[in-house]
Amino acid sequence: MMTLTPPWQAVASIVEHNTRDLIAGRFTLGSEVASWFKSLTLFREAEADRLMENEPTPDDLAWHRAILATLQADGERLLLEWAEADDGSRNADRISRADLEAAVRGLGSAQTAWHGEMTAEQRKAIIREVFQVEPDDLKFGSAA
Amino acid sequence: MSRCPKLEAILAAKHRLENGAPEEQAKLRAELEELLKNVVTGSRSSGLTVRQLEDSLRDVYREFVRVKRREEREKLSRIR
Repeated sequence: MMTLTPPWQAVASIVEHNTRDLIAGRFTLGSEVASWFKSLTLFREAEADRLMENEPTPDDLAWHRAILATLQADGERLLLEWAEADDGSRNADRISRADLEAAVRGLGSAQTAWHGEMTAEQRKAIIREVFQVEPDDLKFGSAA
Repeated sequence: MSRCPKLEAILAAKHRLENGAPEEQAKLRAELEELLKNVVTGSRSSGLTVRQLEDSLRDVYREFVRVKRREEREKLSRIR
C-alpha cells in the first residue's frame, strides 16, 4: 500500500474535492478554473519539495503521477466546458482559455519528464549534444 | 564547473512558467517554447523535437530549482 505523506495528502484531498465539485457542476466555470489553478500551485509546491529538492521515494513518484493524472483530466474537462470560441477572452480572474490550455500542456510535460521512458543517460546525451556541455559539470546560481 | 547561458535562459523560463500567475501561463509557455524551438532549430541533432528537449532538461532543471530555492532561503534568512 502507498503511504500518503503530508504534502501529497493535502494536495490529493483538495484535488479530489475539486474533481467532485466539477463533476457535480456546483460552481461557475470561472470558480472551477480558479480552484484548479490553486490546486496546480499546491501540486507544483509538493513537486518542488518532494521530487526536486529531495530524492523522491517510490511513493512520492506514485502520488505525483496519480495526482498529475487527475489534474490533467480535470483541466481537459474544463477546456471542454470552456468553449473554444472564447479563446481570446478572459474571465473575471483575467485568465484566458489559452492560459488554461498552456497550464494543462505543462502538466503533460511533467508527465513525460517524470514518468516517461527517457533514461538519465539519454537526458544527458541530448544536453551534451545540443548545448555542448557536460551536464554533471554544470553550475547554477549567483555563486557559480 | 561550467556555465551555459543558453541552457540557463531556458531553465529560467521554465521556472517562471511553473511559478507564474494563472493569467500569464499562455505568454510564459510561448516564451519557453520559443527558446526551445530556437535551440532545436539550431541544433545538429537530427530528429530532436521540442518535447524531447524539454524532457531531457529534467535533471538539470532539478538542480537549477534546488540552487534557486537554497539561494531564496539564504536571502530570507539574511533579511530576518
